[in-house]
Amino acid sequence: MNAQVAKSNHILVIDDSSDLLVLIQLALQNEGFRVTPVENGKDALAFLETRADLPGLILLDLMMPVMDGYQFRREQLKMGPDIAQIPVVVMTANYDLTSLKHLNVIDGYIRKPMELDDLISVVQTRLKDHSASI
Amino acid sequence: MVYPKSENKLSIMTQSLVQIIQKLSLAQTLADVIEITRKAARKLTGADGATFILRDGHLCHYIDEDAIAPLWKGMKFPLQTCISGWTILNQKEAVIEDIYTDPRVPVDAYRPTFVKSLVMVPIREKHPIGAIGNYWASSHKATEEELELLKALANSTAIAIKNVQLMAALKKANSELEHSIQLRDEFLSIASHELRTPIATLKLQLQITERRLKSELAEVSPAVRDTQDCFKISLRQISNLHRMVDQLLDLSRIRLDRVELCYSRFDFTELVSEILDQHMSELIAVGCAVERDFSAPIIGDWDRMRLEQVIGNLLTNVVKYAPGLPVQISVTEDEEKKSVQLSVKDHGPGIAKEDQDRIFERFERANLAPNTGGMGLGLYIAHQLVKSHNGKITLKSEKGNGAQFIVDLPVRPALSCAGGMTT
Repeated sequence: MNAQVAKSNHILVIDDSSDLLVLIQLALQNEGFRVTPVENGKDALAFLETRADLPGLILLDLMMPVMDGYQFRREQLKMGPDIAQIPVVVMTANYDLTSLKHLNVIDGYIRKPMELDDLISVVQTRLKDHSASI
Repeated sequence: MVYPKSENKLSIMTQSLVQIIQKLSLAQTLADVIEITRKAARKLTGADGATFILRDGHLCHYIDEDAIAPLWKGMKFPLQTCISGWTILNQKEAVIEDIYTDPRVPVDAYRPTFVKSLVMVPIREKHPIGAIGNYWASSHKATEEELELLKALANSTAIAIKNVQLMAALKKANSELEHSIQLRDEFLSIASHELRTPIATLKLQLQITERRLKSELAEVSPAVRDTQDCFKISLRQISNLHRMVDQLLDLSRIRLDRVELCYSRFDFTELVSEILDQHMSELIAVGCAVERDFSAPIIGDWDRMRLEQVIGNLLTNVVKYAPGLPVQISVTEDEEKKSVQLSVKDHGPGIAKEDQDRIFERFERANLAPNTGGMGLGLYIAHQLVKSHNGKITLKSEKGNGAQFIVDLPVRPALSCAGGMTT
């Protein structure tokens, strides 16, 4: 399982705006990453549970219907070390960062609207870090 | 000698009255007023008893008393049947040496009590709202002084009651206002949050396509150049939109002095550098040559996000008002005063002395560069946020000679945040 995560180029993106999902996928694919887009936390958990294709990084929107980012994070941390340890970068339109402490330690945040360059560099840095720590 | 003795007594009474009036002026509730007055009424004249009566429609309510034996505490009588009612209806005092010989007094109500003589004064001269009574167990004709003291007390009580009523009305109005403001803020917060998603989507799309265009097209034909220009225009407008949405949200949170700051420890110089980098492409695009003068780290406790906005607003103003000209940005620390200064100096049109106070107010805008929108909030918000840190922004400018904004912040404005600090 460790080996699988170490070579991952795979990013799971969770956001309820399907348009934004398409664009983030496009932006990251242009840089050579593989992207799985998901529209809510519940579907994301179901995807992770199958363990068929674990990502090396999760980009997580916070405000989503059905299951929001906070709840997803709580559930993710309960799911066994291979899933709990996947780094998470939060995407938030909320400019009040004090609420982020409810997520437990995360690996970074991007504010929406984001700069394309920032999105790419955060993904590159966080993916690389995780692989390095194995 | 009688004279010196009574003079002494009067001056003591007058001093007492002054103290009582001072206490009344501080009363916060009706209960406070009643409590002060019932004791004061008796103490002032040395009477055997005192009552505090408030008019309740067509009844007199003997709300409270202070006496050697119980009188009528808590009881209510029709105005027409009691002496307090008479005082209220006739708007004048009653001085009764022998209650059993005065037709105004309902003697049956008095028989079980110790009362032989009384004085009753109305509370408020016009349309009295109540009365204060003084009672003696033996035959006593109230002196001029005693009457004057009681009347002075009654007048002060009237004012104190009015005060209490006004304070209650004010509190209610304030809380309704607070509630409205809270609703407004919640709406603005939700609205600006929602607006950010379409803005994020448009921005990302434009940036992706712009990047594609640059990398995929080897040749830059006029058609391609036009298309690239279109993207630049769209991106600029999206930036404007983004900024205005941010300001709307800030405006909803900056209500006079109520900004909740969240302090954390960081390097101020590094923050300025970071924000400047973020604005670099904009500054270069409008032709502003940037000169930086800062190097040494300055560690302190501030609200990082708020300072990002302050710095960002100042840089945005340079782009808006002084395009095509150099701008000098410097950061210095005053170790003695334990403060840090950020200076943003442009060479634009400058601001005339008579306009300088105005520009920090809401909705004030000067002549803008083309294609930039704004609601005139940038400097107002920056000013409020700096003020919340116990800092200040000063402006040095002359018309035609550029403008220098200096932000002065204490290095440690307050304790670090554990969950936000309200100032």
